This record gives sequence, C-alpha cells and structure tokens, in this order.
Amino acid sequence: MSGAAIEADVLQHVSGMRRRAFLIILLLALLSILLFFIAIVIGAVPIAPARVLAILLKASGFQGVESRASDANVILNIRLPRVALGFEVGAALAVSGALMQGLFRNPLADPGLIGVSSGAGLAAAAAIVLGGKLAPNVASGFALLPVGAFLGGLIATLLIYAISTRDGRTSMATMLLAGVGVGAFCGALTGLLAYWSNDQQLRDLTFWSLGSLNGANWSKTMMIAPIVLPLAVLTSFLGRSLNALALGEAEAYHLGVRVQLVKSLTIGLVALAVGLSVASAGVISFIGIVAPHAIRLLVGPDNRLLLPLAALLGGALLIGADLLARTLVAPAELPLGVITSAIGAPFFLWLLLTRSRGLL
Amino acid sequence: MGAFIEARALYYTVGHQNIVENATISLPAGRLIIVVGPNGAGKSTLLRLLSGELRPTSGSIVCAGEKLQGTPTWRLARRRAVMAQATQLAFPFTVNEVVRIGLETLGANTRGSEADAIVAQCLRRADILQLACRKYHTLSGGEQQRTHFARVLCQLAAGRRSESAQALYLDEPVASLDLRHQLMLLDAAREIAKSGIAVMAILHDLNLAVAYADELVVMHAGRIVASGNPADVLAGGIVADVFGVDLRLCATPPGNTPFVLPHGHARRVAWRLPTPPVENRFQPLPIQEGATTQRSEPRATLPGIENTSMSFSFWP
Ligand SMILES: Nc1ncnc2c1ncn2[C@@H]1O[C@H](COP(=O)(O)OP(=O)(O)OP(=O)(O)O)[C@@H](O)[C@H]1O
Ligand SMILES: [Mg+2]
Repeated sequence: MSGAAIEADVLQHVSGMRRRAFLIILLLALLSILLFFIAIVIGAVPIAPARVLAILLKASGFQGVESRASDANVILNIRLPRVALGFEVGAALAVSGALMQGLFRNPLADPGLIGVSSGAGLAAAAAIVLGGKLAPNVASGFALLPVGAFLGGLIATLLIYAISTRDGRTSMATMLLAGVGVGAFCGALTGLLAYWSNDQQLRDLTFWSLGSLNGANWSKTMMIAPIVLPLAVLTSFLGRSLNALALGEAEAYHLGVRVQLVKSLTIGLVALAVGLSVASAGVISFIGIVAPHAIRLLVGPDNRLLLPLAALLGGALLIGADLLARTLVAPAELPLGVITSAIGAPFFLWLLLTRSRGLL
Repeated sequence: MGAFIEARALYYTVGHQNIVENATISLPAGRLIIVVGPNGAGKSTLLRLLSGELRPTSGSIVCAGEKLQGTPTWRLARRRAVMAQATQLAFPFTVNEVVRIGLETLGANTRGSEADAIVAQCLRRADILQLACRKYHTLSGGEQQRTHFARVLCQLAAGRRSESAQALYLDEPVASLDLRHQLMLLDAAREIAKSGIAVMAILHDLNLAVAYADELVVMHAGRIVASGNPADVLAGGIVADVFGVDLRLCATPPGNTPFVLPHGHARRVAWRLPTPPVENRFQPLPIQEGATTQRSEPRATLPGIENTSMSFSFWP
C-alpha cells in the first residue's frame, strides 16, 4: 500500500473511532434519561407515566397541566430526590474509580484504596454504636452518621496521604500499602465496635455498610451536588494529565504535566466525592470498577472521554440497581450493595474471561 | 546560535556515591551530541538532570538563558522532548493515541486537520504509520520504540509553535531497532539537529556514534572523561580503556571515517583490508563470477523509504 493510502486509512480509522465515541455518548445519555424516568414512574404508589410527566412538567414551570397534590408529593419529594441522589452517587463513584485507576496506573484500583471507605466505615460504626451512649443529646441520630462518616473518610485519606508523601512527592506505591495498612486497622476497630453492639445496632451497621438510598431527600441530594462542579470543570485537565500519566510519572513530567499537583488534586477530589457519597448512601461497591472498565472496552482508555462517560454509566447503573433493590422484594428493600455486587461481580468476571481469551 | 543547555559542575549524589560527578556540558543548538559509556556510567542520570527530571545535588544548569529549575513545567515541555530508556504504558491505547499524547498535554490544538497532519507526519517519520491503528501492547519491542520516537517528534512539533530554542533527548533510542530503522532514526535525529534543535543521544554502538555525532562524549563512573570531535576521541584510545576491551581502530574510505572492531572479534574473523580501495562507494562492488548475484547493492545511505518523507516540512 502506498503512503498516502495508509494515511487515508489511519485518518478514516480515527474519524471512525470519534464517530463511535459520539454515538456511545448519545446512547448513554439516552439510557440515563430513560432509566431516570422509569425509576420515577415505578414505585409503591402506582402513578401512570403520563401523569408523572405532567407532574414533572408542572414542577418545572409549565402552566395549565393538572395533577393531584398527593401524587405530586410522592414524585417530587420522595422519588425524584432519591433517583437524583442515586445518579449523583453512581456518577461520583464511577468517576472516582476512573481517577484512581488513572493515578495508580492500574485498572483494578478502586476509590477504597485511599482509605475513604474504611475510614468512613469506622466513623459510621462509631456513630451507630457509641453515638447514642456518648452524646445522646447532641446526636439527633440523623446528622451524626453522615457527618461522622464524611469526616472519618477524610481523616483516613489525609493520614494515608501524609504517610506516603516525602519531600513534597507522593509515592503511589507507598500509598497503596499505606491504604492497605490503614484499611486493616479501621476494619479491626469496626469489627470491635460490631462486637460491642446490640442487635439493632448490628442491623443498622450491616445495612449501612451495604449501602442504601433509603431516606434520600433533597437536602442530601443538594449536599453532594457541589462536588460535581469542580469535577466537571477539571475533567479535560485531569483527562489530559491522566493520559500522559499512563506513560509513567517521569514521562508525564516530560510532557508538561505537574504530576504532584495532579496527584493531590485527584486524591482530594476522590476523597470528597467518595466521602460525600458514602455519607449519604453508605458503602456501595463495584460501581467504581465496573463502570470505567466497561467504558474502556467501549471507547478505549482516553481519559478525556472516559471520565464523563463513566459518570453517565455509573449514574445509570446505580439508578437501575436501586430500582431493583426496592422492587424485587417490595414492600421491603434490599441493600443496594447487594445488587451492585451481585450484578457487578459476575459482569466483572465475564469481562476478565473474555479479555483473557482475547475476545475484547 | 547559542547553547540550549549550559550545565556546569553538576553533581548528583545518592547516599555517599556520586552518580554524576563534576559534569560540565553544553548542548549547542543545531548539534547532535552523542554520549557513550559502559553500563552504569551515569549517562541516563546525566540526561535526566539536563531534562529537569532530576535536581542536581550541586551545580548549575541554564536552559535557553533561564535557570532550568525556575522554568515552569509546561514551558519546559515545549522546549524539550525526552525519549526515555524504557517506558511502560498502563492502558491499552492505540499507537495513534500514544503519539497524540505528545500534542495534547502541551495544550496545543489537538483537533482539526493541522493536528492530524502533524501526527501523520511524525508517524511517517518514525515509519510506524502503517501500525497507527494497532493497540500499543500488541507491537514488537522495536515498533514500540518507534512509537515513542513519533511521540517525541510530535511534542517537538507542537512546542515549536511557541518556542524557538528546543532540544531533543534520546536515551538509547535505537536499542531495540533493526539495522534499517537504526539508520532511519539517527538520520532523523541529524536532520532535526540541522533544523536548529539541540539533540543529545545516548548510544551503545560506537560506530554509529562516531558516524553520526557532531560531538562525542565519553562517560565513565559518573565523570565525563572525554569529549570532542568523534574521530579524535576515538583515536585518543580512551574508549578502549573505559570499556575495558581491546579495540582495533580502522578506517573506511573515502575520508577515512574511523570505526572500531572489538579485538577478540577481529582475531577470530579472517581480516582483510577493504579491497579494492574504491574511489566511489556508491558503485556496486565487482561481483565475482559464480558468486550469488544481485544480492543487495551496497549503498552509503538508506535506500529511499517509500513512505518516509525526508523533509521536515511540518516545522512551521
Ligand atoms: N536512585 C539511585 N540510587 C542508587 N543508585 C542509583 C540511583 N540512580 C542511579 N543509580 C546508579 O547510578 C549508576 C548510573 O546509572 P545510569 O542509569 O545513569 O547508568 P547508565 O549510564 O545510563 O547505564 P546504562 O548503559 O545501563 O543505561 C548506576 O550504577 C545506578 O545503579
Ligand atoms: Mg541508561
């Protein structure tokens, strides 16, 4: 083949890939919107889709649409915040997973690696088990758990970050090990607290550690929203930097990436995003690994596409999982983490199988 | 043209060991400097000091008139590109994407036909265009090395829009390349030097080093033990001492370009002078009767590679 023909081939391939990425963005956005709507329509009180639409339209300012007040209340104050929170948490976890994987240069890295989940878990256990005893008056019970979990996660991450940073440079290898160490320690203390707890506390603890969107409301939904802004603004910067980091830290530096800045920024954002999600919905596993991985298989590892697409997919996945969690055994509710792991883990294994056979 | 890098009395110390010791070197614009030396001599460390990746324990480095340490990372990335001795890629990017990374971190416009043209030109220069759509992981070692060469070319091309003084650092760029691609890469390095860029390369092949270098630098145990005109350095005899081998210094006509043969090798192979002393080495050597005919024509330079344009027209 002549040089010009090869070049035309390459250009065609590149533009084909771009078209494919665009198509997948479109499909994922449609999927998210569809799931969002379905999740609002389905619930304990049956409300027809057309009526749901009417209520949503009215709420967003359209005049002349009629709806019953009780239905509107169910939709606007119970289902909508829950689905919105689910989307936010799923997106936050998926983006955090993608960021961690880029930073650790390892497709199996998980937001839990930097200790947010274990620190938050310990703090939550302390809030559940000790909260009532130590500060019965302060603890309105409602605020202590999320605030404690958020702070616990943040403190654990700061500790791990401090341990692995020398002379202004963070060693990712040390960070991995420090994360394991801190995680084991927090796990032990959490176990001790579980041992001390009574039956009701143990049940609370288990339910919390498996995650749930039960009790979602607008204030929780609004609490987690601010993290979306810096993530969205920084996506293209972080995407570029993480692409270069795939070549190694030295290469990234040669390419003009301020490696330490990217590390601190990423770790800070992930700690905030995961800390807020854990505080509002408990520990939800596997979204952070499955969503970025699926996107990588669909559009390739380019982080500039990966970060926003993983957010979309993660949000959609969590809405879907929550839908299953509250409909499968209705009127009871399954823990969310059970669904994400029960579906996520086999999917993950399937990915591994197909990849090792070279099919993907 | 002035020097891109002026480094004086560089020391790099780990513990009590001087890995680079009292190194003074300058990289003038438009020249190809080749560094040779045994394993562990400190060549890569010197390169990493000059590229700004490592901070010298003591000594000063001035880069394009500014202190190297004070230069912001993003500006440095536009001024110099580095091809490291070994690079591991963490995710399954395609060759084309890897090369584009060389553009996008500079904040250069990465979309549009201009960027596409630069990328295609760099891919072609590194003779990797035909593999551009492949996943990097599926390439052979030499093909991966060519991919990184294309990437650093891309970075230089993008940086050239805003910086006039530039440098290219190559750490054993031909280590896993076949003969033809070794020549191709070094030809490209020469051409890049000719376009006014300071080029520093580390090589282990002394003959290639002598054939291509404007200046040859010999390192041993962290020190620069010789530098200057390649033929003179080679004739000085220090190379044999540094490597601890016996070398036979020979010369090829015309112009008596020097080359060395390891002595052990020379003893084992029946040695004869190049016969007859041809005036014009572009002429095919006389083929003996009965010998295999029409093998390959000995040539002084590369036969034109069909999909390799030899001009650096994309430098704006
Ligand atoms: N961080 C470090 N700690 C201890 N020793 C080091 C460190 N970095 C480099 N060295 C040592 O310094 C010496 C020079 O290393 P360098 O990589 O510069 O060698 P080199 O000349 O590039 O060798 P090669 O030809 O094998 O690539 C080696 O002996 C190496 O072991
Ligand atoms: Mg080296």
